[in-house]
Amino acid sequence: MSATRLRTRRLDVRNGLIDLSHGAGGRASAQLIEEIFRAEFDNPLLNRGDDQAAFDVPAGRMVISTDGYVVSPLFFPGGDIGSLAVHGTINDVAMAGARRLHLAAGYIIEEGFPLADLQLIARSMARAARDAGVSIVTGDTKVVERGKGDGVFITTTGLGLVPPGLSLSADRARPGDQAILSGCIGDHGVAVMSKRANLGFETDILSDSAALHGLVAAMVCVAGPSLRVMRDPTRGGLAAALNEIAQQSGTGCLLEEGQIPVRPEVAAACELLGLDPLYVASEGRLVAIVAPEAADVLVAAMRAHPLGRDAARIGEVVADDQCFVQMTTSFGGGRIVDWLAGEQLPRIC
Amino acid sequence: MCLAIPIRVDALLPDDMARVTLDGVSKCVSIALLGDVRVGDYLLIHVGYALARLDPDEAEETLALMREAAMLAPLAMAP
Amino acid sequence: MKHIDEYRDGNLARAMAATIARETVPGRHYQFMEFCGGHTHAISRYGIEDLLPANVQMVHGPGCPVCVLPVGRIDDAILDPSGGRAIMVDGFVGPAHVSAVTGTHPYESIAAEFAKPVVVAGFEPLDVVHAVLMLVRQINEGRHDVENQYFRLVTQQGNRIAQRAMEDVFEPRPSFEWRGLGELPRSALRLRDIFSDLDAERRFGIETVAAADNPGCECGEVLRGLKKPAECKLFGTLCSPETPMGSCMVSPEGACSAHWTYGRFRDRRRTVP
Repeated sequence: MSATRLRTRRLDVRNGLIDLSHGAGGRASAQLIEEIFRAEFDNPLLNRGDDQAAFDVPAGRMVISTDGYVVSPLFFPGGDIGSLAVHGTINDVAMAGARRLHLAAGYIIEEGFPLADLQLIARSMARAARDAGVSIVTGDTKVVERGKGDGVFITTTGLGLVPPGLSLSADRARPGDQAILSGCIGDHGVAVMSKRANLGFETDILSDSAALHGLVAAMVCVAGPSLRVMRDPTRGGLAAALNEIAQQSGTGCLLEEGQIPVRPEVAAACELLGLDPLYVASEGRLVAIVAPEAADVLVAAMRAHPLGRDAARIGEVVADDQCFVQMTTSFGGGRIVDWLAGEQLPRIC
Repeated sequence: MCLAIPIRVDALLPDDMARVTLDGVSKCVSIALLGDVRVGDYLLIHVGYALARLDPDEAEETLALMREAAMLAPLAMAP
Repeated sequence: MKHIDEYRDGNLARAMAATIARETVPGRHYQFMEFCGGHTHAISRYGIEDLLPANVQMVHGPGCPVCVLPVGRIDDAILDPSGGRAIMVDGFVGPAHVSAVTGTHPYESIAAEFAKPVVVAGFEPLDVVHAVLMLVRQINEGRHDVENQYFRLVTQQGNRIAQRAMEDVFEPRPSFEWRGLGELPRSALRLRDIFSDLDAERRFGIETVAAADNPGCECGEVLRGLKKPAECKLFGTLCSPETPMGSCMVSPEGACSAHWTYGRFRDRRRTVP
């Protein structure tokens, strides 16, 4: 596709709707890509208009991560499916300690979806990417018939470069290592749930969706060699993240409930809904497992960063051949924090 | 499920409804099963209905009884 | 959170538990059954059994996912209708929010007939510990009264408006079959005749088909407090929250589900997936 302007009327973004021709690969597709996506994402690689983006790769270890986003509703307090799709994949790359390089985005859009909403989502993605210093360099758009998709689903793929000397992996936790959480959990899940009509509650809670690469860079700077693994507690919450690490490392974990930060509003919403905050998704938080001697300096560095103000040591890794994540409750008793059984709430991210 | 918590009424609404709020989280509930609800009352809510009103004097007395029971323990006790 | 956090104070709980330990008669064993899932859940989630002295044990009785508690179930919690082993329960922790509707008065006949104390307790962990202390005191004093620990929300008469609404709409069935407990008379409700057009059972002619439980399912024993969840052969193998075999695992407040979710780290000798 050349850069020549197509001789058609511009898209009526205000009133227009997606139709099947927008996904057919013809003129309508090209116009959609030009006027919605390239207009917002605007970067040299994307603007070449190729089916792929070609670039030189710096020497070193690469990471690649991909995620699908099916959040409902599409627009929620503190974000939307677009910003979530950018933050989420940047974070998956960041969890390897990697410097983010490029993003790719694929869209599956339902026939009838308002162009105005698509533009808002694209704009939101562009802003999130720009703020994180990364570009969306290639993408794809498909349209499915009315009723076969729920508005829009987005898949983003991210590429990153791991700094030398850093080797993070979920199987590296060892007894004695410390578990550090970057901030309050559960904000994103509660913010999304507050917009689900059938749950019937109101709140001012905003999603915590955010790009964590800056926080991670600060952490790697002070404690890189001592870091074992980092995870962002999205679906399944902190419980899922810690159980994954425990299982892959063949260790257990012992948490202190009183040390786990939860906003009062999030705690209240969870009480009202009968949910446990440990299982509610966050989209701008991370949990890190670090060697004990570096724990204090790591927490201090995190607290100095805007996204880590409430960072806290929440527990430690222990030997356990059954890989339980145990917790001493604020009450003083003991319980396990098990894998989530079943589906707490669907379409959270 | 049986689990519910007492929540404070911050507004009375028409048609036997009330708004209850806990730490900035609000819900609208029916007070049709309770007579004489006032702003400031703490209500027990199940599936959108208020079933009982918490008596703050009785709550104070409950805590006093608990503290009294706790003080009967020997002074030197293991944590 | 006011009227909530005060009842989750760990220091106060430990102090009350120490009082319980002091007041129990040395050498005497106390077994109390809670039969409301909300209590089973609270006991597991807060690890309350870790605080109680070794000679006080909680037996997790039949809960109910929808808060309808037939009096007949309590009979069955004391005696095995087949004439088998009976669990010696010394007293009961009575349900909290159900009692806000019914009042404490329905439990008076149970306490009198079986000479076992009933203490109606709130769902917060301190309420449960407080109720255990009240039960220990009743046992020590040879009493079997209905006491109301949750008196900040529960009264003896209950919510008369709610009770009248129930009476207007529902009537007792002559008999009903309960999983693990068998047929119990006047233990369940149905819609009154004037609402028959809203009654799915009558409108669609639904007839209960007796479904065979997995032969290894020991829900009956667990519901009656004769076995602990980990002692059921199916626990953790065929039966888990993702593949529940019986009611104790299906309901998030069932004894087996609560044990799975919060407590199975205590079954160290048993291999669980």
